[in-house]
Amino acid sequence: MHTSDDLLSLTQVTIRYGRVEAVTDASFSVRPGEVVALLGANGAGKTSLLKSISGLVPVAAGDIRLRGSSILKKRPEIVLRSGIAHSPEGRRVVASLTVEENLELTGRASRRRATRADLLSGFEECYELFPRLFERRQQGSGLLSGGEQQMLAIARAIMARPEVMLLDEPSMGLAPIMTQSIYAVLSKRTGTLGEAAIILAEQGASLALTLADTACLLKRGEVVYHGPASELTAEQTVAAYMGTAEERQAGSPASP
Amino acid sequence: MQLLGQQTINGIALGMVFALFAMGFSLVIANLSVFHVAHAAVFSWGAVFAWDLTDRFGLPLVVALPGAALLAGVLNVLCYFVLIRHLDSRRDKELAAFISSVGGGIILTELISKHLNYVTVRLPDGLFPIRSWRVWGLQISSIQLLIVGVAGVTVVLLGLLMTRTQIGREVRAVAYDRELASMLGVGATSVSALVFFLSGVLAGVAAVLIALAFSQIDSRQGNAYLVLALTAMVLGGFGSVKGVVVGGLVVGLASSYTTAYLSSGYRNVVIFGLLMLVLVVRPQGLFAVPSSEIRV
Ligand SMILES: Nc1ncnc2c1ncn2[C@@H]1O[C@H](COP(=O)(O)OP(=O)(O)OP(=O)(O)O)[C@@H](O)[C@H]1O
Ligand SMILES: [Mg+2]
Repeated sequence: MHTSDDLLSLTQVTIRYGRVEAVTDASFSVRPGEVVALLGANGAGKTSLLKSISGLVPVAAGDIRLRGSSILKKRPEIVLRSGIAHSPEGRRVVASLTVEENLELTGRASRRRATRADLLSGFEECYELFPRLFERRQQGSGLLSGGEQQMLAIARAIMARPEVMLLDEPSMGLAPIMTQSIYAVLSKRTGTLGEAAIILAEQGASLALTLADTACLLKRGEVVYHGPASELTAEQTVAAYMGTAEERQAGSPASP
Repeated sequence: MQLLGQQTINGIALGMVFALFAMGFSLVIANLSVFHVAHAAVFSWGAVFAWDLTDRFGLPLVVALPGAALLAGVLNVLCYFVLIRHLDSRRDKELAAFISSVGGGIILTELISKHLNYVTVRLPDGLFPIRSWRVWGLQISSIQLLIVGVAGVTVVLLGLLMTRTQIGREVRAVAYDRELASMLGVGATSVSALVFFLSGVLAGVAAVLIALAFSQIDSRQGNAYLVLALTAMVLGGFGSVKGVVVGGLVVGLASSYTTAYLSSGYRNVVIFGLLMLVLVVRPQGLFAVPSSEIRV
């Protein structure tokens, strides 16, 4: 499965929560700088997969490799320091810290030898992408609006200067206009956002596909499509979300 | 008026020590939601370390005070790894850790008794020059100045550590959300170990100051302070350094006024009466911190 130009590769990854199998035999890989849209309905397993990459949930079977070496069983902070930054679902920010403290926390924790200059250039990059965060940098991050918290969650990942960014549903629960503006930033692809590979998990396929080189479609924990984003047909997407035409006709339950 | 002033000074000195003790205790609560009652035994050990370092090894106070505090810090880190860390994967880990800490505290207390050969000891005379001055008719002793000075500096240093440094940001992030902190590059276990260390250091400093002030060290000393420190913590509205300091001062003052105006026998009645009263009038404590922003 792993080829030499892959940055990150998942091989037949299976994830279980007790008896529930959330992901079954998922395989896909990411090349440097590639944007992968990880698509699937509610409960398809997107978050579980991203968490397994970060070391937050154990992998029952399979392997995950970064630059050819396995990162299974590595603790989340070690995974981050080896180059994979995770912006979690639900725009979690450390509400007891200010905006800039959130950024500085990751900026320093992700690279033990971060200098003051590294930090400042990180701030500059984040504030250039998200001027709203600059305006609110001294404010408690718990007081930010939902959209601003999402910006902070992405900016924080940028502070780690990652090679791979895992963005879990950056559009979740946001007004369309806010989602638009966040996607506008993501599509700039300059600086860290330009160099890093991005795995973008979304329920809504259309927006994510405008950005993606590759699509990976999950249906109830299984990869049902992995290939160029442009070749993913509407039918395949609908089938993954709603079940195939035959399944629907037969009245079998669609994925939840 | 004279007596009131005098008791205020005594109460502030005592209250600062409660605050140190309570702050250490609440750091651990904020970090792991664990009620680490063996903290009281670590406190007692702090005084014993000071006794060992001065009486047995003849070290001066300037060495023995930080020395005993560091040893208490190390002991508390051991407590973390032996009593609490391995319970992490349990569903009921807070409760299990509490029970484990109770047991550890009993063992540590017994070990002190053995170590001291079941007697009460005291720090050597002349370890700290005892003087007193009259200021506006009030008696101020060198020990009181030492307590307020050392405790004050410790509180300020802790405050700076928590608000101005990467270590402080990491501690606060782990207190807020352990999983999220790990995604941001923070090793939650090492942060917890550090928190237990700081907490033990605070207990150790408090213990040495108490041992100097009351010149008595026994194995159970910490337990009496545990309840008072908890009261200080709840009074202050658990979660902020400022709240814990104010809570400590309130308990210290209440204790010292009662001793002077009623009798020391009423001390606990007054302190806990005060606690009940505050909890009825202001259940969130004097300085409430929204639970989403617990900082300590
Ligand atoms: N901690 C958990 N314990 C038990 N089951 C879980 C847990 N987390 C997720 N699951 C189950 O695993 C499956 C996949 O969930 P996951 O959150 O990965 O899906 P998702 O694609 O991210 O969904 P969504 O779009 O709603 O965020 C679901 O059936 C879910 O119920
Ligand atoms: Mg999800």
